[in-house]
Amino acid sequence: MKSLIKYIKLYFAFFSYSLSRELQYRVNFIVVVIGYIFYLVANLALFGVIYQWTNNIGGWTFNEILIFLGTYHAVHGLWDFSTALNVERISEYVGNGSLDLILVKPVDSLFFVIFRNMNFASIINVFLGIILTIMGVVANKSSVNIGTVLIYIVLAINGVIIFTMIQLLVQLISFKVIKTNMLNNLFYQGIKFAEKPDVIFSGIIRHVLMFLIPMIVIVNFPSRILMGRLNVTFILYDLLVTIIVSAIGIIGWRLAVKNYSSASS
Amino acid sequence: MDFIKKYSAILKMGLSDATEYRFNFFTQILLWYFPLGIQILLWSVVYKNSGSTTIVGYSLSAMITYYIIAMIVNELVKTEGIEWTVISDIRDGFLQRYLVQPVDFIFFKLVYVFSKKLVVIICIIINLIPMALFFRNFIQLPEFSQNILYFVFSLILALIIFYFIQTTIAMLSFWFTEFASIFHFIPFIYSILNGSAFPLNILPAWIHTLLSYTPFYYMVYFPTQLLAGNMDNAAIAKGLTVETIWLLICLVLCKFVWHKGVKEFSATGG
Repeated sequence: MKSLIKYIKLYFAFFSYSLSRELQYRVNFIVVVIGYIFYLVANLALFGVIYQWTNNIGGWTFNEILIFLGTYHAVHGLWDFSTALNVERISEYVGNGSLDLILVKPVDSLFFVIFRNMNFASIINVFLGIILTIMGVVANKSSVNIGTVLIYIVLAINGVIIFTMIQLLVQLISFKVIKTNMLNNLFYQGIKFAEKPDVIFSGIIRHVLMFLIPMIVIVNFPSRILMGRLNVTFILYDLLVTIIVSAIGIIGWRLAVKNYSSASS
Repeated sequence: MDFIKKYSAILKMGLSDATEYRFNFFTQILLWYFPLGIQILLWSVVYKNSGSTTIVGYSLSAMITYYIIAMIVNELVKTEGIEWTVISDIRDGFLQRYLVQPVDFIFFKLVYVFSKKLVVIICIIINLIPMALFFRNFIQLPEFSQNILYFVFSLILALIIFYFIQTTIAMLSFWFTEFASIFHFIPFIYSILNGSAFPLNILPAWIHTLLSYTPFYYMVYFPTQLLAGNMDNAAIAKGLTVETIWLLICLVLCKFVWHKGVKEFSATGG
């Protein structure tokens, strides 16, 4: 209990530190906000164009695509806000030796590494995503109650966790095995599979994205809750995937740190 | 003669820089398979659901061929990160080096982009055959005609236009210090307007016409349609004219901002 309070306090310290830093770079903030708006418009434009020629994609209506895209931007924004840029920096820590300073701190090193900085400008992506999702839900006349909203929030946060852990694993492997940023690029192209409605994937590709590299789980599952297209089995599967991926990520980190210390001493 | 000697040295320098990273570029091309694969899956479902075999005249394979050509064109007109070097030259004061040398900064960087492009072209050519084999069921080979000359010409113009635009934006760092993140987002704006997200003639006719008077139209859509053989002579003539006019506008703008910027740079004692 005491250590839980310690970590909550630490998180708030990160929060106020990041906020004060962000406030120094106001032009950058505005640029990023405008950038996110264009990102959303670009995603909407593609589907806007497609739905001129068809009224559904694999059974999904345009309103359901709004829910999906909204959820994608919310999950992606929350990931960018909380952990994405921190995890990306891990190889930098290894390169310039600042990982040593982190390892000697009297807190969990993984906690410190993945929550160190918050990227406040990304919050705009979360807001835009939520607005789009609500528009989609209203237009789709989905039956939504407190229960579905709560499950939606849990699954969306699970999506952020899965994103973070897969990114962490990619970082761990790439600083161990391959020195180029090949794997990193592969990761950023790979998450494009999470960016599209799962109904376009079938056969072996669908199985891979569902069970092996669970890209479908990240955004499609929470979106499906608001469309009434997800049953209990899949909610449980979502939780299971989150736990397994987190466990692999945490164990992977422990092993990497262990190897790292013994290598440098 | 001196001129050629000077800039061919720059060309060689860029070439050796680019060959250093050729491994990264190769792996980068492997990553084309992901977005192309996703586009194929998405459009296959769209065609199946729409119940018709063509959408604004594109069959499924014509659509996929469009995306493949557009992707290559996109790679060919990219400015290879030159904007970041311009920003760092200005911000970290390296610009002085260029100011005291008898070279034109803007032309110097352009030659550098071209030299990097040569390596990119070689990598693309090598990758073309495996890629064609991989996507063979979806490719509709365009008929090669004299259009290929226009294609090359419009590509070169497009590359120069976008070099000028990116450099002009990057030169804003003469006045502002922390706006570089704009270059992470500009690709999204380009992708909707330049035809790499979808062929522009799928849009309502008036938007399509409007876009044909912007430089974005010439970045990907126009060269792609030229190569795919979807442009008649009148459209080609009009297109190349508008593109040339944009080249001149962007050249003047770029030079103007450069002169203003250098004054600012010297005034602040950089």
